[in-house]
Parts: sequence; C-alpha cells; structure tokens
Amino acid sequence: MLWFFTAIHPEAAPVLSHYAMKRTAGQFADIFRCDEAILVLTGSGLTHVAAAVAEAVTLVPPGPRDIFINLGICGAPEGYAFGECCRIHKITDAVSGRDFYPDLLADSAFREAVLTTYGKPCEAPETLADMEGSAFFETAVKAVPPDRIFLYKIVSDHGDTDALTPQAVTDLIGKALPGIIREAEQYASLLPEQDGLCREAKAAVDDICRLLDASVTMQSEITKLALYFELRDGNAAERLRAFLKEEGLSDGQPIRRKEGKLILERLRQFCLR
Amino acid sequence: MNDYVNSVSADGTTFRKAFSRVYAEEAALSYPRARKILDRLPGSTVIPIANYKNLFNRPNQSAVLQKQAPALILAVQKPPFLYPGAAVCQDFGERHFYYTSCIRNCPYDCEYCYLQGMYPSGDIVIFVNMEDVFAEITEVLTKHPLYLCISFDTDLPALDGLTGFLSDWARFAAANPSLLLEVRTKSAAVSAVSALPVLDNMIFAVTVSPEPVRERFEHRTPSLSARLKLVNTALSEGRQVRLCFDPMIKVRDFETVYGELFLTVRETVPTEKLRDVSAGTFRISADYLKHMRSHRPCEITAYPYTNTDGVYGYDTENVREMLSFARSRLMEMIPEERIFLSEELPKG
Repeated sequence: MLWFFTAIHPEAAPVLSHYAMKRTAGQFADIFRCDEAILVLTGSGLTHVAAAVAEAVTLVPPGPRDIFINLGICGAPEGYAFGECCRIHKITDAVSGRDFYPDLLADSAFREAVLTTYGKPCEAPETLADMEGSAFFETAVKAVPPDRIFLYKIVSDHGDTDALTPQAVTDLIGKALPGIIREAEQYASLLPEQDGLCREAKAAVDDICRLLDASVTMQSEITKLALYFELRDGNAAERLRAFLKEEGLSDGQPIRRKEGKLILERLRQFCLR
Repeated sequence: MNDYVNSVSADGTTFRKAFSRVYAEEAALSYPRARKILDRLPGSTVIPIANYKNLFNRPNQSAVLQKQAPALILAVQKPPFLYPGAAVCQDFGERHFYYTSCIRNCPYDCEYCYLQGMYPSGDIVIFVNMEDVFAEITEVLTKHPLYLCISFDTDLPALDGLTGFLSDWARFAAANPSLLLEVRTKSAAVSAVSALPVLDNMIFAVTVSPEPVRERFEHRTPSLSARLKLVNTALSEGRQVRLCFDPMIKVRDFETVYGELFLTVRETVPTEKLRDVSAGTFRISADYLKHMRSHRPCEITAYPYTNTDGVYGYDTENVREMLSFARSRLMEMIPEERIFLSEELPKG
C-alpha cells in the first residue's frame, strides 16, 4: 500500500482524485483511505507533520511492503526549473542541523536532490527548501525503514511564493503524480513478502500444541521448528502432519504435558533429519 | 541474489548498481585514497556527510535489501584501530592475536555471516586514513610481535580493484617482519594477489565451501574452482596460503557434500605447500543470531541451535561428528600439527 503525506489540500487533491479516497478518523490530521492507498493531510510545519505521521501509523500499522511518500511543493535555487520533480536523498533540518538519509535502492526517474527543512519560508534557498521534510522523515523512520521512505519535492518557486495559486499547486502535483506512483509501486514489488508460516502450517502448529498440551514455552519452540521446516523445505504443514502420524497422534486425542515434552524432543530430532 | 528478496520486479525494475551512491565524510575527501576511489566510480552520486555513523548506524535499516544495492561510505577512522581477536575466532597458536577493520562490511552476501548481526547496515564503509592504523601498529610492534587479521569484517581482495589497499598492506608488512598479516577471502582476485610482492609474513587465508553450500548460502561469491585457482596461483608463486573450511554448515548428506569438497581439494591443490588449514562448524554469538533471526529469516538463522555460554552452534554430538570427519579427511592431505579446528577433539 502507498501512503501519501501532504501538507496542504491543493497538494493532496490529485491523490484524492486519483484513488477516489474517503475520509476516515483522525484527530491531528485528516486521513483518507481506499484499498490501495492512504493519504494523510498533515498541515504545515514540523510539529503538525510529526503529530500527523505518528497518529496515522498508530491508527493503521504499516505493512511490510508499504511505501511512505512525502509529496509537496518546495522552493529551490536557480538551476531547478519550475515544475521539476526531484527525489530527495538527503534532508537537513535547518533548526537542529541534523541530517537524514532516505535509502534510494532502486533507480529513480527523477533528479536526485538535497532538501533543507526550515521552520518558516526561506526566501533565498541554497538547496531545495520546505517546511516538513525533516520532521516527516524523522517520525516515519520509526515506523518503516529508510528505503521505504520516499520524498518527492516539486519546484514551485525560487523564494518568492506570492504568485502561487492553489490551483497551480494542484496542477504541479498532478503532473508528477503518475511517475511517482509508478516508481513507488515498482520498488514495493521488489520487497519481500511478510515472513512466517502459511495458514496450513499455522493450523498444524496449533494442532500439535493442543495435542501436546504445550506450555507457552513449548508453543514457541514448536513454532520455531515449524518455521525451520518451512524455510528449509517449504513444506512445514506436510512435515508436521507426517510427524503426528508417525507418533500416532493423528486421531486427535490430547496427551499429558509431561509426555508432550518427550514428544517435543522427538519433534526436534525429526526436524533435524 | 538470494531467495529472500526479488531481484527484478514484474515490470523489470531492479536494484541499483553497487556503489552508485557514495556518501563521503567531508574530512575523508581530503585523503588521496578517497580521490582514487572516487575516480574509479565515475557516474556515482556523491553525497557529503558529516559523520559516517549518522548513516551507517541508523536504526531500522533494511540491511538485507541494502546488500542488493550497497552504498559506499568513505570515512576517517578514529582510534582504537586494533581489536583483540574474538574467542570464537581461531588464533592459530599466535599469542598476540588482533584484528583491524579498515573496511566494514563485505560485497558478498553469505546468509550465515556474522556481520549481519554486528552491523545495522548493508552498506560498505571504507576508512581512508590507513597511515593512522599503520602508526598504531608500529607503536605496538615496539612492544611485541603481532598477528593481525586485516580482512575479518570484509573481503579485502574482493574490493581491491576499488581500494588498492592490499599493496599498502604488503608494503607495510615488508617493512615490518615482526608483523604477521592474515588476509581472509572468498574472492578469486588472482591478479590483485599476484601483483603483490611475495612475503613470508602475509598469509592468504582462502575460505572454501562445497558448491551446493556456496550456491545456497554464499550469494555473489566466486565458485569453488575460481577460489581454488587463486589458491593454486598463490602457492605456485611461493606465498603463504591457509585453506579455511570454516564455517561448515550442517546440510543434509553432510559427509557426501563435504567429502566431495575435500576430495576436490586433495586432487587439485598441492596441499603439502599449504601453510596450514582450519576447519570449524558454524557458530555465532547469541546477540548476533538474535538480530539476524529478526532481519533475515532463512534456513541458517532458523536452525534450532544450542546456546553454550552465549554462543549458538550445533549440539556437541554434531560438532564432534563434523569436525572428526573434517580432521580425518584433512589428515590425508596435511600433517595433523598443521590442522586447526574450531574445537579441540580427542586425539585419533
């Protein structure tokens, strides 16, 4: 799933329209959702962004292939064209002086750039400049790793924002959005699926735990052995069922825990064959 | 490439080329070694940083994914530069056993590698101030000789095309006969090694594994035959060569799989010329394994190891069987006093 974080509504509008999202709960931020994406309207400024990101990840725990995207307009020095979309590889917080580094592990179709985040609008930026990036990254990285945090900044001015209309902002974001979605989805497809046991293997583990009257510690060990089966041979459910049959436990009658412990030791040996 | 991540997405997107991003400490850029390395990486994006730790030690990194597209970090190392050898490492009977770490992390991607438990990142750090390391070693050498492993936390020969560090070390070793260097590698860097002077105090310790083990667990490493070519070239040049069968992994049909490896070595390597050999079973600190289990679930990390005094390994019976098997095969090639095992076995 893609998560979009934008500061103001004109930045959010193209995303909301692309995904036909619906508004859901949110105290510090407006949160919009559909099956494929989430949009968090954070508000401007460091504190608002940090609170909004924290609230969003508390309400909706991110999945292992979710990508966080901070999308917004920025100021830029001469040398960046109006409307140019850049992918950020370094963020400097102008107030604290701290630097942050999103990991760009796949190629980007966009120009890479450094972003400086200020507490107020910057009139003569030396790098790309915004008012949210550092707080977004610093909060987001507590929930997802830095390779899944993407910052895209679209140049809207060179220090003078007077002529910028909300519609112009929406147009700039709308133009860059398809490429951004494509890039994020492509990276997500490179990521590993959630690790662990499949449903059948989990069911087999549950059966063994019940039949052996397993304590919490025994349950943990049985799960670990099943995971080993799964990662080594990819057939944990089948192997566990075979073990139950070998032990004469397929009839579903539980045994006493003391005996269960002995069977667990045999499961360990069975697993290492 | 390993099974855990997808190397190519459905539409053809792949991870970036290794070192397409170079993060460089501003202080490091003034060192000639840094300039040389950057000259060898035209087209890479160079991103200035204040301190490598701000990048390398970040919490919550995807180290396994970073391994698919590692960034290079150029930095200036702060003392101490020498560390005492760890208990789980073999000292080969050397009294003053230390290691140094002028590069952190390895271009290869072995599923059992302890570096995954040690470092939070899959990126590679190269320290460019080797003179400071040499100065500390020179100071230590005034007190006692030194057995120094310089390729523990990396594979120095594998990266030599980029760094050229081997020739720096060789020059330093040539000038300091009481220094004994060990350069551990899985590489096939024949030309890098052959370009060096032949020194009695520079040991090339080549780790070998059976092909099925290499294919399954040692991603991106050269084949067994390529590694043995390095061994044979080095031996023919009169170099000190150590062969390392370490770590041995408990795979199905262990004796068949490793038996083939020992046979191949016996048939293709003039083993009488080897300085010594080592063999060891997989073992790792409990803290490292815990970290690896949470970040890289795989056959190696999921195995139900036994914890003995904070070190995870196979149970005693398995270890004895594996080491006894290795010793018996190695004794067919080399005198017993030149065989070093990760654990003592009863004589036999």
